[in-house]
Amino acid sequence: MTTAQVAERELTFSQAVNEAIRQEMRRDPTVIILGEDIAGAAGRAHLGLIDAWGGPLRATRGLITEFGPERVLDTPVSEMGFVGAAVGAAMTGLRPIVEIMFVDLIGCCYDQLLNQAAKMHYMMGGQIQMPLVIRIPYGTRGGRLSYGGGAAAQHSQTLYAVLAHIPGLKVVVPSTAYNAKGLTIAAIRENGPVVVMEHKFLGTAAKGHVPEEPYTLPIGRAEVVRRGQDVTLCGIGRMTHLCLDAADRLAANDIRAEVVDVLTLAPLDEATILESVAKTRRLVVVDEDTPTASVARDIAARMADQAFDWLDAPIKTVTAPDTPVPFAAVLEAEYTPQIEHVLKTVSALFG
Amino acid sequence: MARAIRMPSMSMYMAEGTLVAWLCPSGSRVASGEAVAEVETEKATFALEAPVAGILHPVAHVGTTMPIEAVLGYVLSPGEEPPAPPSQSVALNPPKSDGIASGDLEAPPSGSAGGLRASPIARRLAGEHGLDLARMTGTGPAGRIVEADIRNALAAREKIAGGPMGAAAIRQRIPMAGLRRTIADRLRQGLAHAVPLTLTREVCADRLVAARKRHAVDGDRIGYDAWFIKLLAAGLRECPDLNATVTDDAILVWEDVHVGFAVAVPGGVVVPVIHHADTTPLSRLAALVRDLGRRAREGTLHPKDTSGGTITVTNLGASAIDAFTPILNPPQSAILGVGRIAERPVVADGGIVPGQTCVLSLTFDHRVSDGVPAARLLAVLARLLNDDAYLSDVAHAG
Amino acid sequence: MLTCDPQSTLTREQLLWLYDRMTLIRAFEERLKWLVETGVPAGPVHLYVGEEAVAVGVCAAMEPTDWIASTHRGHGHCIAKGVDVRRMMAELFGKATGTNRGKGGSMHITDVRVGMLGVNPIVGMGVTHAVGAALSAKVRHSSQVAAAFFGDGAANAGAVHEAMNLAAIWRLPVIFVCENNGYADATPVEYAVAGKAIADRAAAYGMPGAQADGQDVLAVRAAADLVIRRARAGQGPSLLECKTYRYYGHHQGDNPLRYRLPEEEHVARSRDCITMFRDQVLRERWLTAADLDAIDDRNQTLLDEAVRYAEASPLPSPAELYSNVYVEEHA
Repeated sequence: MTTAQVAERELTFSQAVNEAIRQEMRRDPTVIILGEDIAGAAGRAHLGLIDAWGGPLRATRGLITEFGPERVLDTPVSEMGFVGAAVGAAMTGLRPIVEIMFVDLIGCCYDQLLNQAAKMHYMMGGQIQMPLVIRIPYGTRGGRLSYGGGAAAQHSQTLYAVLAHIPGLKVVVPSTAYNAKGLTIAAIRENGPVVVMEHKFLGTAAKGHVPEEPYTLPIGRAEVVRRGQDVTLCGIGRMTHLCLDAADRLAANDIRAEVVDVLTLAPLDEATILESVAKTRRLVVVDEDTPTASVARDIAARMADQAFDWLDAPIKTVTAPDTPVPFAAVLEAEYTPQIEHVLKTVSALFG
Repeated sequence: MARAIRMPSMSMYMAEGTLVAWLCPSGSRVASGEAVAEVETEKATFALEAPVAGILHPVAHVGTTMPIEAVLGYVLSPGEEPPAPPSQSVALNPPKSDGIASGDLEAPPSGSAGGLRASPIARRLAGEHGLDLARMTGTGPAGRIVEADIRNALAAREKIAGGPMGAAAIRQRIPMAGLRRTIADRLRQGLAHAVPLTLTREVCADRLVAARKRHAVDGDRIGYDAWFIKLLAAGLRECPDLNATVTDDAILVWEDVHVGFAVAVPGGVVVPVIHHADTTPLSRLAALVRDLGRRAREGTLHPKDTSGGTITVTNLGASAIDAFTPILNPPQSAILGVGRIAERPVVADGGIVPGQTCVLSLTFDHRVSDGVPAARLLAVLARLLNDDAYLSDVAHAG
Repeated sequence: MLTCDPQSTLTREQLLWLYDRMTLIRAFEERLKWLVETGVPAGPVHLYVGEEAVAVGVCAAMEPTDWIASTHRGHGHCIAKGVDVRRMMAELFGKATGTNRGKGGSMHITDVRVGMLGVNPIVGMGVTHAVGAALSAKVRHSSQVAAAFFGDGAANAGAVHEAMNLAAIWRLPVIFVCENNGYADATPVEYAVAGKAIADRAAAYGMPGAQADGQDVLAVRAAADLVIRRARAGQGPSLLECKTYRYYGHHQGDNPLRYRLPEEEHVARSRDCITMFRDQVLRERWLTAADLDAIDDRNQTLLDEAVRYAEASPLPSPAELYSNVYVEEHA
């Protein structure tokens, strides 16, 4: 491949996830995938109808054509049932990937994550493994429309805090096509349960060069995506891109922000964040989840403890408010953290 | 009246769409509901319909990606002029004239419930340097004392009071930087975990002195550094315990003997390394010592010249030092200090006679072994120094 | 299986109402499709076109004080139950005058004043709420009945089974109306649903199960009437499965030809519920063409008015983001 061709190999976030799953399913016949409409038109291959949807974000497009309905299973609307089935399959020799259509639906299967998948290995004294990957889209559109609305309270939430809170469950939040492929493959190869959160609206910011060969990125490692001196901005998922945009604007005002992409919520890479805060003396965590009992406040608390002797300003968080997601677009834009919120918070640290 | 054709929201997960084609030419008559453009999203391609009948006036270029509500074009009434370029009612990127709002933080009442407003790092630094926060004004938000305030106060204090010790005037301020800082940091870091202990032994050096005189090469006597490197390397073959490094969970005893030797240079000390000193002939050792020493003083050593050492020799004889406590060279576990060879009273056959002696000061890391192996190494060195045959072999080997 | 007589006599007003509601739903949904396609950012919408007879047939047999709970495909149920289309349109436009003050959108439209407990897009959950409404009626000794609408997809959700079991053991005044349109998103019912008919699942819970032709509003009404009377008389819940068909995709923007053959839609459209009812009432001379045309015109005018109302209405104020998070002490 020439350098030019390599540089042109740009994938979107969904394409990168698709490639990760596909390559792992080729490599390992015990990897299966289940979920609602991950293929679509189930049972209709004889009518010439197959692979109708490929998932709500097209991340599973084409898999059933390559791997067949034994390994790519459309499910009925039965989250508790099929997530539970995935748990059982993971205990008995398969490596299932299960998709929950969006995070707002975890209420329908939370027991399987909370009490079953996360705790089996522990409760059973290590007798079984749980190589289960749970892929979950999340997030608001968050853009600015002048009227109309988005997907409203039950189709727009972030909620990963209630997953990161469960001991035994690892939670990763990729932010680019590149780290989406690496983290998804890493999650599939993990022998314990891993939740992969996929923002529904990353858009072109997440598009980028993705190597063709399979690769993994370490789960539990945050990444410094921009170096700076004066303040650390910790971002999660789409908010990392917001932090990078904010850093550009801050630089014009002579504030050099360091941006850390958290990438793994549990187990959290405290060392990378600590090293950054010890250098910059200031921390702002940007998280589009609601704030009470959130990952943002968890990071803030850990750093308040570990980075205490280096802090030159209080630790701040920029989050959604403690409300449901409103339908009206003009309200959803206020609900979702925007660049103005970040800039205002950072500037207050410098007085 | 012109009616805008806007990017619709065509599915739950659509945030933007790409215009892939205009299906009718600009200026053509279109019916209400007629397909006029094709838009592509990640999920599907679909047709955009004219919202009313009229004349099509495309604006957006094929290939542009636009957010929902963006204007792609207009349907005009016949004869109507197209509107001015659309000012998008949707401001996705607010204008850069947004200054950073400052001072929005509500200042709490001064004194804030009796507590002093200082950041944690400011408090720590103030404590470390004996500054009184109560007598300082802060420049941080709401009058908080911040790190910059402490650093300024310290700098001012040095100017006024002449240094951290208070009364004395400063003659010169040497920045802790460069080689000096590197050495300081390395030593402190290395000694953070090591447990150093120094054993000393006065050894007879008569035979060494004689051997050196006898085996001068081209009138040049081989320097004591080379001799002691050779002797130490030989000693380690018999007593390998101290040729080692401590890691988190193991002691690694090295197979090879790479001996470093300390060289004083402007600004500090450098330790070039002679690899495989145990199998290197003495004359070659001497040549290496000369060459590396010269390059050390000139500052032209390569990293490979100073890396890989498993033990170090440091010779302060030229500075007329009798004995000392050399400091371990991390991550090594032993360092041999050589004092001056001088004429001293020696007890022999019940009487006191003059003799050439030298004190060997061996510092070792007590985590690697206790005193016995170190004493044994010194004993070996003492024995070798008194072995004419051995010294002769070493000199003749080459 | 229950049997019922679709020919039982309805008054002229009742027949006009059936036509009016079905055509109003059709007009609303078609207009909404047009608005979304031409740029109104109404968020995700799930159109009910083709299924009108089910919502209208069931609601025709209910009282204004009865309750219904619906699914994401809920505009039809809202209109059948009497929610104001202007306020529905305003809600879709995200305006402060909407049924939910702009806070809910298409997938949460609610109007408790007309007994609409809410559109609910978490599949199966609305069914449990309808059971709760029936429980409330029973405890308060009220004669209200609740109807839970759900689809063939929800028929596989655990919550629905738990709801049916609860309703049965407590003998609650609720009817379960399964709108089997053949698809859950892109997944066909013959793949996802075990057993021959969803109506058969009623037997597992000791309640009567019935099937009705969802394209025939009179048949639906008659069947609904029967099971609602049962419920209101304290005889407990029933399950009514109505076979129907959605002409468009799962949500606006979905291309159903990826998982459906075109012939299916042709067959369904050839049995269009509005066309069939219109033909029947004219053939039987229960109503005249003028009656029906007047209703058509009135509904189009109502739709125009609803759109103008929505366009002219104000946006919610920013403070609305924070209102009604907690339930305040005072109303």
